[in-house]
Amino acid sequence: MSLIRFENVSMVYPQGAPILRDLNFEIEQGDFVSVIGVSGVGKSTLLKLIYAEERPTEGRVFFGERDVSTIKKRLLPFYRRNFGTVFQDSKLLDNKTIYENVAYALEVQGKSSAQIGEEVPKILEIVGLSHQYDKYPGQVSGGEAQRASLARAVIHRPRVLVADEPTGNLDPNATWNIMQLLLKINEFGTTVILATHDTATVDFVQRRVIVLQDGSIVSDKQRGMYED
Amino acid sequence: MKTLKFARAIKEGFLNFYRDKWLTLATISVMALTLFLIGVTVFLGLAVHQTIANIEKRINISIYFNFDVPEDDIIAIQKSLEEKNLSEIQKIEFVSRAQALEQFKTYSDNDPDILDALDVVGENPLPDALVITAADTSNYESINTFFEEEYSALISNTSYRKNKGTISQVRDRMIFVRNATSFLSILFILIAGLVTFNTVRMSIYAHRKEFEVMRLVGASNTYVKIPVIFEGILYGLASAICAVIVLIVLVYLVDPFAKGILEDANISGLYGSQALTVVLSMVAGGFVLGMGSSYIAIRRYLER
Repeated sequence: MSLIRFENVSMVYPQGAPILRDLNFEIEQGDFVSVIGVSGVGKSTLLKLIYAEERPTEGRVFFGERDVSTIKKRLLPFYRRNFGTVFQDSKLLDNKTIYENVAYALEVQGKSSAQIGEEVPKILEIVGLSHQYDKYPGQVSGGEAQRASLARAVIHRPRVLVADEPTGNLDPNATWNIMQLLLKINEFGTTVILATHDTATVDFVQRRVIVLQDGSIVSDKQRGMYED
Repeated sequence: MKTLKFARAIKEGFLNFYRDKWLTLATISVMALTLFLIGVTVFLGLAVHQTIANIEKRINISIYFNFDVPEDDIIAIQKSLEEKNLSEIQKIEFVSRAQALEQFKTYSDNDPDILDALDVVGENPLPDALVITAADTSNYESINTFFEEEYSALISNTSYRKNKGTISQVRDRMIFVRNATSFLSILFILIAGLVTFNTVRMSIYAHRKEFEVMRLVGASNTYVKIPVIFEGILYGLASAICAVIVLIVLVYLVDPFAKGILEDANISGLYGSQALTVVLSMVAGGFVLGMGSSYIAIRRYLER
């Protein structure tokens, strides 16, 4: 059984044009999927449907056997613990240090202080931020903030990492670092769904590519390049 | 696990309060100002009520007895009434003819014309009297009627008929002042409540993006709510402490000036006697306003 399944999913924002039209696709556990298309084509909306920040106007989104639309609001935070999320802006909490930001994902799940004290330094070392742990987000570079965001997204070992334009604000070197980390995370078995319009990142990964155009899937290749 | 998460949420609230120094300072300034307004309102309300009570204590009526009624009989009437412990009457005082004359001379500042007039009369023209202070100004009518009916043979006159208009006028004005004070208190407290609510709402608005992130990393609504509500309570308590300090300083600064204007004004004394009520009102106001405002404000961001 697939991990994520879209069945005839359409999405229309209130008083707006349809943003997604009749999407049908499946994502397996351990996949690395890039969703590409120009800005405004519906990539972010597609991701939001997966982690239930939005609900489809028509059709159904399944996570395993579960129809995501049927999850009660109060249970959504628990559903979202299956995911790690990374965005173009790192969305770190400004009044917390890098360490505290990463630890927060474990704190909300009620993990013990001992476990947090063990896990956070490890992940910070993996993303190369051991020396920046006590800095606030405003005191580190964009690339470092994004790496911290990535560390926060995966520290609780989610089944899926959702990355929405994670390299959009970064220079080529920082972009390369982030993509390396995404591939490493995927190697550990975490499904990665990457939305981007950056040709270089897609070409670098050379994995499954879903192309969106006018809200519809126009191409879905197992090993694609941006220009394919 | 629940205890651990609750303790963490409380710590979050503390950290937000401590780390967002400018936001905290701005919020506390406005809240302290509004709580100060509540404190002043409560204090003024108490002062007005106390002043009214003092004025009421000074109002009384005199029951004048015929010259042939022996002093002992009048004192017996006073005692029998005191023993009955009537709820309408607060105090009964016997004023003899001699005392009445002395008081009259004192009140008239020993005016030579009046002293000459008294000499011409030859003997003390003032009768023995019972001076009655009522528990409430509205009781004077019934007290007067009681004396006029019960002791008609012994009484020559009462001061009630003469002072009826003044008593009723004072009473009406006191009722007006009391009602106006209560109305203004409620109005000020409502305004203060609205200002506080909006201030806390603005400070929470500044954090709105953080709530989205918290929810995305899997924080439950309760886990997001508790630190915010706790932060609101901290705002309220810190503001109340600031407002109480300012109020105390103000009371002791204003006291000498008030004494200069009104001889028997004793603002610091009144504040001293009512301090607990005023301070508790402000602290409770801060607590409730901080908690309530933050609770209402945060709900909006967690509805999605």
